[in-house]
Amino acid sequence: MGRETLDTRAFLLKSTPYGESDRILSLFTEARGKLSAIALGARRSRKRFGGSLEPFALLQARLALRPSTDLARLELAEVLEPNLGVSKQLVSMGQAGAALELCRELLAPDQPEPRLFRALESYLRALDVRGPSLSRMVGLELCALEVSGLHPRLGECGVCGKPVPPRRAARFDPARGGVVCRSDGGGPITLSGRALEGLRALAAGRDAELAEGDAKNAADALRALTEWHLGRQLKGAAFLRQISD
Amino acid sequence: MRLLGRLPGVGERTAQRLAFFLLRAPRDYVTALGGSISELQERVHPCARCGNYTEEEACAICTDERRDAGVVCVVGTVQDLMAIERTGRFPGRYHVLGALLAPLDGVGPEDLPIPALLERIGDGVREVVVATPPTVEGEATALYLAQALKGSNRTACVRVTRIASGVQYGGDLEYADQVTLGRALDGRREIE
Repeated sequence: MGRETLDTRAFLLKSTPYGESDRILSLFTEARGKLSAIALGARRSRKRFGGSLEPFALLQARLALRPSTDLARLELAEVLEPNLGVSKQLVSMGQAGAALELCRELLAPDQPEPRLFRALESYLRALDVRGPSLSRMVGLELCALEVSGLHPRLGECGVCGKPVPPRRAARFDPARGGVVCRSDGGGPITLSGRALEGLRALAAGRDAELAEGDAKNAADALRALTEWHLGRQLKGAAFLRQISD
Repeated sequence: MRLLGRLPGVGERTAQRLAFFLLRAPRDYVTALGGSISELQERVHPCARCGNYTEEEACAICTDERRDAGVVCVVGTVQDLMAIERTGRFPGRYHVLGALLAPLDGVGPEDLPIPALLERIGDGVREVVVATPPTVEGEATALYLAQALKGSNRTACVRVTRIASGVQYGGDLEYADQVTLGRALDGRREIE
């Protein structure tokens, strides 16, 4: 079998220097999900890829896929949407970085996830135009958890299955995948009634704008859930905490 | 050859060529080279004021009375400092951070020597030129430094500037990528 060429829209999730002149990239492609690729000469010369190998931009990428290796070769990358506004605010950069990290960590290789791709595209576009929003970040986190099969249980207790009353605060246990009622031991995080309602609305695909405090409450719970599944801390969350201190 | 091959830019074949060159080179030269390499980390260290490399307590730039101490250029690495020095256009002094904020890698302000910079800037500095690279890391660092300097009583009056970025001198607009050209337009200035 020969070499296959893939033309697809993509986001750069991570770029690591390789050797003297190359970069190893992790890309979230629309057509094939997460792929690794080498960008030959990307560090030595900017003629070929220009400013396209900086994160946050939506790219049109051409990749040479080789059957002998999981590492594709990036042949062309053109910026479709630069999202330059993201780099104008530190919090926007932190939230965008956290979103890319979440995709990098939760996506399985070579598995298209068009819904998450569209969600990331809208999220970065909104960051570019409207600035940072913890509420929108929570929406993206929920989407990433859902497509990776890790969506939290929000409507009923994760142990006994008893429905959680609406608009009431609940205990959230990352280790048991969602809300857990008090009689089953509860959990280390308290989700306010409004935060829980907001999370349910977002999980059901409805538009919901959470107030800052509720969005932070919801984001903390989702981050704890993600970190529990990954078995390590998310770097983007640590960065956001440091810049907001 | 194994050790030479670990040097940047040196592959297996170049390591072999260097090894054969050293085998045939005059003994004095090989001894002097070996001595210099072994003394390098003992004698050369970061300048106590700015972080540039020096054999003294303070580097040649910090002790040069002809340099303008009221203007400090903040760079990420000593290599960046040297690049700016090569232009011959900067009359002030430097501050080398040694690292940049990295939103994607979790490198935050706590990981950078920001307090040392703020401490230094309070002493008669009029302007801080942030010369971090035009990358996400460089932009994040520049934004944070500007916030930190404006937010501190001691440094709130200091002018904070950012080096310009955009199309390459002698370059062709037709071939400039969208990000570079967009940034050039964002940073346009009036013709005097």
